[in-house]
This record gives sequence, C-alpha cells and structure tokens, in this order.
Amino acid sequence: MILREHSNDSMTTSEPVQVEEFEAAFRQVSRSAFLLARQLGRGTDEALDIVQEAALRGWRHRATRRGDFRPWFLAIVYRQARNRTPNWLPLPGGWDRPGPDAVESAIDPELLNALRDLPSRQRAALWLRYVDDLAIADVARVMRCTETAAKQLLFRGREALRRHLISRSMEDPK
Amino acid sequence: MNAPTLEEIDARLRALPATLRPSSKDARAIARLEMFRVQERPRRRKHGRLVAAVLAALALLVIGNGIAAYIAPRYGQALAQVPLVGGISAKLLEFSGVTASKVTVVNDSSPSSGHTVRLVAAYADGLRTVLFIAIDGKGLTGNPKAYGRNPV
Repeated sequence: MILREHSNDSMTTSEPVQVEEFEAAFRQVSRSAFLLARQLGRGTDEALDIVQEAALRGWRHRATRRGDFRPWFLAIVYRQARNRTPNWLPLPGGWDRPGPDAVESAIDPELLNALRDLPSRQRAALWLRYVDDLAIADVARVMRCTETAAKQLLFRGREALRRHLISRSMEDPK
Repeated sequence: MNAPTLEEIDARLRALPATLRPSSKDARAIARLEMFRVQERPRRRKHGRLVAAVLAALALLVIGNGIAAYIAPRYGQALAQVPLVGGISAKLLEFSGVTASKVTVVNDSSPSSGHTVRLVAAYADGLRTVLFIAIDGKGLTGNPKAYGRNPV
C-alpha cells in the first residue's frame, strides 16, 4: 500500500469553496493528516479526533487559507497534535513517541524503529518531507519555521537516524 | 559492519512510503475519516455573560423595588399606578402588604381652626399602621412638606 496520495490539489487558490470541494480536498489529505498525528505520539482515537477537529476548524477558517490545501491543512493538524498537551504538564521523556503499532514497514522496519526514537520535531520534519513528499518550503510552512530551520531539522534528523542505525547495528551485530 | 552514509539514509527514507502499512486499527480509523463530513455546526453563542448581567440587573431592580415598596408604602402605591410596571409591581405590593384591597377606605374629615383634616384610608398589620391623610384637600398629591405652611 502506498501511503502517498497526491493530489491533484484542486484547491490551490483562496477562492470561496463549497463544502463538497472542501470535503474532496480533505479526503485526499486525511490519511496523511492522521498518520502525522500518529507520528506526533497520539493514539488512534486521539489522532482521529484531532483530524476531525482540524477539518471542522479548517472549514470554519477556510477563508484564511493561502496556497495549497495540503500543507495548510497539515499545518492545522500539526498544531492541534502538538498543542494538545499543555506545556506545564510534567510528562516522562519520550511520551510523544508514536506507539510501535502506528505503522509497519515490511521492508525496512529498522529504519522505522530508528525514526520512532527521534525527537518529535525532527521526526515530523522527516515524515513530512519523505513520507508525505512535501517540498521544504511546505515543511517549513507546516512546522511554522523558516526554510533554513526546516533544512536544519531534516539534516539533523538524518544524522540522528544514521547514529541510531549504527548504534543498533553495534548492539545487534547479526 | 558498514555504517550507513547520509545518502543511504536518504535513499532508504525515500523508499519508505511505498512499504508503509498502517495497523488494522489505524486503517479502520482512516476509513472512518474518509466518511467524515464537514457540517456547519451552530456556533455557541457567547452571550452568557450579557444574559447573566441583564438577569442580575432585573433581579436587583425587583428586589430593590420590593424593599422600597415595603419601607415606603407611597412608593409602592406610585409603583402600582405606573402603566406597564404596575401590573408586575402588584405582586410586589402584595408582598409588601399595601394593596388596594387591603386598604380600608375611611374618608372621614374633621375641621379645626380653619383647616380640614381628612382620613382617606388606613392600613394596619402586625408591623405597621399606615394612615392616608389629606389636609385641606392636599396630601395624597403634592408636596407633603408644604402642609400647613400656606393654610387656605
């Protein structure tokens, strides 16, 4: 099953949209949005809630959209998934890691496991860039940072992945 | 053991989406999302504070008038005669005790030294006795403080 589901994004302008048009665009991005929320450490039900809530919020604020629907909607989901837990709540380290059952990879489970251990922002950047196939500018837009910062996150994420894979192969030399 | 290079990591990451498979629970959730419909929900009205303030003001007005009518029966009477509010204030006047049905009409007068004192009506209960008096035809209307100053 291929998870990329692009997207002849019909909603590329910020003209007033009808509900059917919005729903069609939402259906194209819903899977990515759900998996993004899962990658940010949310459980299945919570991720479902987040995406549905984001859809309602997106519909309500549809007039504020500039540019493509996909990064705009993923940005809402990203924000919703990240801001769901208040900052003052004392949580154990790694609480925002996705569960082992979020997604499986038949060919490269090792890489997926290493990805799971990354800090959430690096993981989200890599996920958006490689799994969702977003351009760096869109990754930056979703994560509300500059393109340089997005590039840096991606670079550091790849570096961290490499280190993880090396240390794992040293632990388990088979 | 070969340490993977950044290029290899990059290639593996690029190949990842084609191999990814969500768990069955997640797949069900994704299927549910595809059925999701954006419906306009009526926005919650944020007039709660305004309604509470208006209700509080009304309550204050009613209680204040009730107390005033209890302490000053003439105020209660005046209130009862106000066209719109009179109907509502009748209930309050019942509470304060001064209602037309409970006031006994006496209408008895006595002349003395060129002045006429007339007892128009009276009301008494366990707490108070209220006499409605007119002197020289004045009293129920006009300025009560002016009584006796300009005798006819």
